[in-house]
Amino acid sequence: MEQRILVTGSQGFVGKHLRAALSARGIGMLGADVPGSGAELPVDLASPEFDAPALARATGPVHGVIHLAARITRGSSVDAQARTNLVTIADAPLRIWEAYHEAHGATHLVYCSTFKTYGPASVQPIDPEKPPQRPDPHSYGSAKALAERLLRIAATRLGSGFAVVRPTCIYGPGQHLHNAIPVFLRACLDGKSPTVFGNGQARRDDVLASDLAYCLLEASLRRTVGAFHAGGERGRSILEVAELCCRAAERLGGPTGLKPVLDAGRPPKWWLDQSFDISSTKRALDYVPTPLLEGLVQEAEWISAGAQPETSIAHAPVRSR
Amino acid sequence: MSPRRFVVTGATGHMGRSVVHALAGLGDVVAASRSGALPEPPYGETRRGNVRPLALDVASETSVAALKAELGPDVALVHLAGWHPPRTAGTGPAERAQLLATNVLGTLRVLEAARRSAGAPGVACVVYASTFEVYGIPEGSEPVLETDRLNPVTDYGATKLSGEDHLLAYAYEEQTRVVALRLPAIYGPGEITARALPNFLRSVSRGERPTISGTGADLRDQIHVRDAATAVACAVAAEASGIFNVADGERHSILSLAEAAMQVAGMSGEPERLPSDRPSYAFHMSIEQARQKLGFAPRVALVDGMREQLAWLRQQPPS
Repeated sequence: MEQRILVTGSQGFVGKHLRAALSARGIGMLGADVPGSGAELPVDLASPEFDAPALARATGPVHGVIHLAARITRGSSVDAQARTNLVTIADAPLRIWEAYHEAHGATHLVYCSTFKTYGPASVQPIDPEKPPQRPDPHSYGSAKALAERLLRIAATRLGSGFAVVRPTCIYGPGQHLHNAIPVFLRACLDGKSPTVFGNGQARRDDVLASDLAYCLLEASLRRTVGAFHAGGERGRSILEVAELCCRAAERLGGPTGLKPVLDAGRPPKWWLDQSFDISSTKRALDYVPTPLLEGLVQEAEWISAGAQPETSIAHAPVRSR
Repeated sequence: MSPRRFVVTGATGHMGRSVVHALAGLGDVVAASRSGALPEPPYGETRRGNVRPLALDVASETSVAALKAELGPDVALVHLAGWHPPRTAGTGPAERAQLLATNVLGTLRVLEAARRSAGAPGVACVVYASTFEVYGIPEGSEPVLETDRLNPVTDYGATKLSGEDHLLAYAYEEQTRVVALRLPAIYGPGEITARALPNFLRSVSRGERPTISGTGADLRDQIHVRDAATAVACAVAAEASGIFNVADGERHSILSLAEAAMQVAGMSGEPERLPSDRPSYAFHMSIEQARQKLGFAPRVALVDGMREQLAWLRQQPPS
């Protein structure tokens, strides 16, 4: 039988990179995403009408399930949008996982979580096997933290294993243009110095979307159990990241000698100054992160080509071992 | 200045009735519950006049607007509404759905009502009833601190912890004072759930010896419902914000609870013992933070509270 994996949130930023990764390995992807998104399985996971057993019957048995579906909401943590998103993030994956168990027997699950399940007080570098404690004070990390906890409890009940992959800040072709890296890159490509708020010393960790797709797919194919970080080579100060954006633009024939400028008058956004241990990801999944400069060049190419979501994959070579 | 108006969700529950009564001694109370009934006063108490009932189902979207209309910058919002499955261990998908709808989404709706309330801030403070189950099984043998590892092993504990997470997100976004109280098993007149202490009292009220599984050495915290209500009143009046363990502060083994049940019933001898293969662990919280920052001091000694609960139990019609 052809190997197939169910992927929720298949039409999103990470979903597109995951589709490319599956395609390169000759594995079938059953994409589930909201109606009108172009997914094979048009379903709204937050709808009261969502029928997980019907989904499991419709697809038949699968090698595994990878749950990506989520929105990054920026508004209130308690409004109607946050509640809808919480159902997609923390209720749907459990219902889907249980429905596949019921219909087809033990089915492996990979849950795409977030570094925002870690609050600001965590011990550094963060060990992924220690359950996150207090999330970033916002609904996104809070909902993913709830999902992880409910999945751990359900796993005991089902007698089944699952993998949690917690990406750091995800960047790469196809990402939302309001985020720091595309803002820096666009400035550099336009010949302007990127502006870094504050003193630029807050550390951040960036993972390339195709690297994350690699981790998710390998965790599914190997039926890995446990919690893993999908991170970059190492954490960097935001100033260092902005400097690398200047070098990436240079590589594409942009202006030479650009340097970031600090805007000390504007406080940096809420930031979690954290570093992440990725040694278990390297061991269990043979993961080798793409050098940040290389990933930034891919994203710069995509931006200079017009930054269309549908062209993102063309600028992102598929990661393989 | 301490708030003089109170809105209490879950007001007709075991804890709700005592909280409404305590707060009604301090100011006007809106007592919100799914039934919309006026809460009965706690056992042995007389109804206070300044309590107004409100029908509110936090599992329904309509609760946001209904609750918002009752709030304002002088209101202390006390959110007790939640669902507790008959047994918290080993719950399945059906129970989880109800826990999510009530304990998580219900809490978000209550907080949204506070956020959208016309005042600035929308409410004076929010006090939230959390649970010791957020901790799961403690790592060490020291009294559990608020900063200890959170690793809930029940869906109930996970959903209550999510309520805390969202409460803190709300506090951060709205710059509003919030207090979460991590409560242990609550006992006292009106307690009807199937757990150790009420089970033991039911046995002795029938003239039977209570039955314990295993050695009975496991520690489990307790709080009398009147002390739980006192803790809420302290949280409302305090200036502190954050998360606090609340219990009677004593170490109670399961065996000591069974012996206390026999003592208050005037029975001699020993509890019945059954073999048990359930994992054994001690659970005991430190309440130092609540003592220091909320000014909380438990007043009801275990045997006094159990004697009161037995008296109440004996007045109930036989089930």
